Amino acid sequence: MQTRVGFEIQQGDHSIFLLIEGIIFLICGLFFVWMYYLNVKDAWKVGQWRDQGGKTNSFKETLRVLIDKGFPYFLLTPSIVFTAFLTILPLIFGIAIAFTNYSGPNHLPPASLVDWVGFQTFVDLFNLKTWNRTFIGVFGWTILWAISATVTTFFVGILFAVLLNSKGIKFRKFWRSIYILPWAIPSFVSILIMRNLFNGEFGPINQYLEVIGLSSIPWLSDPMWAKFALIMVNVWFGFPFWMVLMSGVMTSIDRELYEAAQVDGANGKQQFWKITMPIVMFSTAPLLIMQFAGNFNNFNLIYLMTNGGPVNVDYSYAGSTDILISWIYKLTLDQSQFNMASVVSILIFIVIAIISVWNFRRTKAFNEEDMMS
Amino acid sequence: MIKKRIVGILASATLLAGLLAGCSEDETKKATTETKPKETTKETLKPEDGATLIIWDNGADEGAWATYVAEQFTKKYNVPVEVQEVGHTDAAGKLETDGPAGLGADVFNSAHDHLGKLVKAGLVYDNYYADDYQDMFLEAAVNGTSFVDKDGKKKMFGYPISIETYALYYNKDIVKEAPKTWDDLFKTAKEFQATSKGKNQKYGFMMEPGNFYYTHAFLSGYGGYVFGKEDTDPTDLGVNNEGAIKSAEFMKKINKELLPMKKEDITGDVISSFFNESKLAYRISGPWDVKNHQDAGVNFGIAPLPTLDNGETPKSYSGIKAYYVNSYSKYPKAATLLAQMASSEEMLLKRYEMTGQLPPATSLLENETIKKDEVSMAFLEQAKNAVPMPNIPEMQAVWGPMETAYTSIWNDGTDSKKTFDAAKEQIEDAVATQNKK
Repeated sequence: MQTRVGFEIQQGDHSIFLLIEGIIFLICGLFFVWMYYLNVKDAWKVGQWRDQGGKTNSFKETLRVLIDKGFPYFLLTPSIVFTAFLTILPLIFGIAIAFTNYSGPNHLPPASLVDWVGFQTFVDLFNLKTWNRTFIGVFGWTILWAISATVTTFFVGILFAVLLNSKGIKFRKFWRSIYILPWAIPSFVSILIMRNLFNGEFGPINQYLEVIGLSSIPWLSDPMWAKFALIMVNVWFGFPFWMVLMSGVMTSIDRELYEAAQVDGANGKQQFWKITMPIVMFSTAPLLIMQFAGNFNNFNLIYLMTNGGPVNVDYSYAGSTDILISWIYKLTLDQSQFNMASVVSILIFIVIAIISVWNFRRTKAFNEEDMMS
Repeated sequence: MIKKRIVGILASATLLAGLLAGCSEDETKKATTETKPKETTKETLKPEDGATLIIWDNGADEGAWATYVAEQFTKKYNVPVEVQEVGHTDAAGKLETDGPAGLGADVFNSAHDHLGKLVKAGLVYDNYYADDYQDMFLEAAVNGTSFVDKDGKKKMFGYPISIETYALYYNKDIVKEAPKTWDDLFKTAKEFQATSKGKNQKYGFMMEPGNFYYTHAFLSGYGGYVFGKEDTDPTDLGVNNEGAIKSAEFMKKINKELLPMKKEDITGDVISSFFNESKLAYRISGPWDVKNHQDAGVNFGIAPLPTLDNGETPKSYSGIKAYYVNSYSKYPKAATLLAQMASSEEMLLKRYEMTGQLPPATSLLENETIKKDEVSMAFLEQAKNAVPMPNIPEMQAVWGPMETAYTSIWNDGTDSKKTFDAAKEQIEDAVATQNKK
């Protein structure tokens, strides 16, 4: 605990630093034990070899063997150290926080200590009315959002790719560069512009709607429409990626396939579904999973476009369009609820991990080398 | 041979290090005994030998002022000072992570509503000269930068550098005189609104109706309050009392008669652009919009908020920016001197000249340059009726529910009593989870 006499502050123990130092020690300790084990094992082997009358290496010879055979290990060492301290350390730290009461305003070091509370925070998340209502609602929307954001951009992308690659399109390069623009402009700027476009009262979109005789739509003030607007905006930002990718795949498809299909009397629709689609799916499906994970954590768009709004009376520290990651942001930076945020991020990790593993296993591209035969 | 020499060097190095460590330990002990806290006679501080300091302040004008202070300080005490750009609302959060690691600034600018968090986390020194500051500064500034520490004693922590609150902007080309009461405002605003129709609709009055920072003026004007005992008692919530309900009815009236649109569509951008185009007669905002409207060439004036129908002036929230000394500072004495110098009369006046921000010092209210400035005087007038935002950490649990409540009252016209009851319950829940052992 922190104490103070005049201008001397005794900073005392800082629980979080102790925790980090503990984890660093643990990692170093494991390294040490491992090295020790290897050493003992090697000594034992050499001893046995000597008992059997073998000749042991001199120091010089050992060095030469080390340089000859151990070179890959030398190269790997830095990356192992970096992985241990830049990936594994924060991961363990993040998980450990979930089991403490590290939260504002009463359990913030250095003024007060942080304690282990076991699974209490997990229990709170599912049992306390204020928390579980928010969690279930936000979680449901996050899944829905991730799926629809991925699927819509994928199909709009494929649509534009097909259009751009079909015969008789003029100024192909021009169209391609135009459609890539939304992807190329920093989304930070364009999302803020989008927010003004969707303004329910003064935004151009509603004004056009009124001009053509439709009634204006409460884009950002109604939860349903706000969600819809988010998905639409995401399509705008997301489809050029798929369009470019699929255009590339399509140009590499052998023309003879189509010629053969035409000889057999297949129409355009059949050609698309039987030739183009499978080949495109084959090359792009693994990226779908990555896009899903990306959308699952698409913080920028949600935060800048709606900031989680419109408000939701039933949620704590979240609005109707908040996804888990933006909720975590509000929990940590606005509310200092580090332990709860940590619990939520562990749950995000579990979800993403399960979906990824399941999907990677199912995607044929990873199992069979040549599906196309 | 070489090996031996290395071992020798290493051994002597460790010995030396041990000796040094021993020395510094002795020194700290000495220092502790020397600086016994005395309530009445303050020793004159001297910066530590070899001290270097870092200031965190906002960019632009405020950054320039901080640099000026830094230069003056270096001239006087021969202590180098570096100014880094960290926003006054981000400083507290950044200090929480950087401070204990020894990476934080020695002196930083923070909004007063972060103070509770800073004190509870043990990140700031209290104001060494607190006794002198009691009379020198406005009451709101002293209260806003004071907090009850863990010994249960109310102490002043900050060195206030500016005070800000919001008031009524009016377009002088549209209305000649600022309205004295809300009835006046409604009347003139409606007259102006009636002059236009359809696509070029003009508006009489705009404000951000969901933002509790603004709506608090009405809540409190009608007799509602957030926390009891001058905003220090989190167990006594006054957000659903008679006054609160009256303020909700008042908001509904504005919504119905002057501003029939959803909260999400009335953003700060929208209000500013309407005011700049002279399509808006009145708006409520703070000093941060003055330059924006001046640049746009609007002929506008600023007046205190008009009185409500119960005869009360709406009590706007005020924010106090202050310098604080990081409790992890290596040179706390130098840092204290710097914070004191930054909040001296001379520097505050300089700040006013450079940034236009109002100095919270009592003596400067009589200053000629400030008195001549209409804009500043209007904000100062309002500041007399302002209450500082509560700085207890529980306040963080209030903003969200209150925004939700005012928004649903505004957007959906929900029952005021029920809505505020729900908001109160939500605040209580949040405070309860926060305070759970």
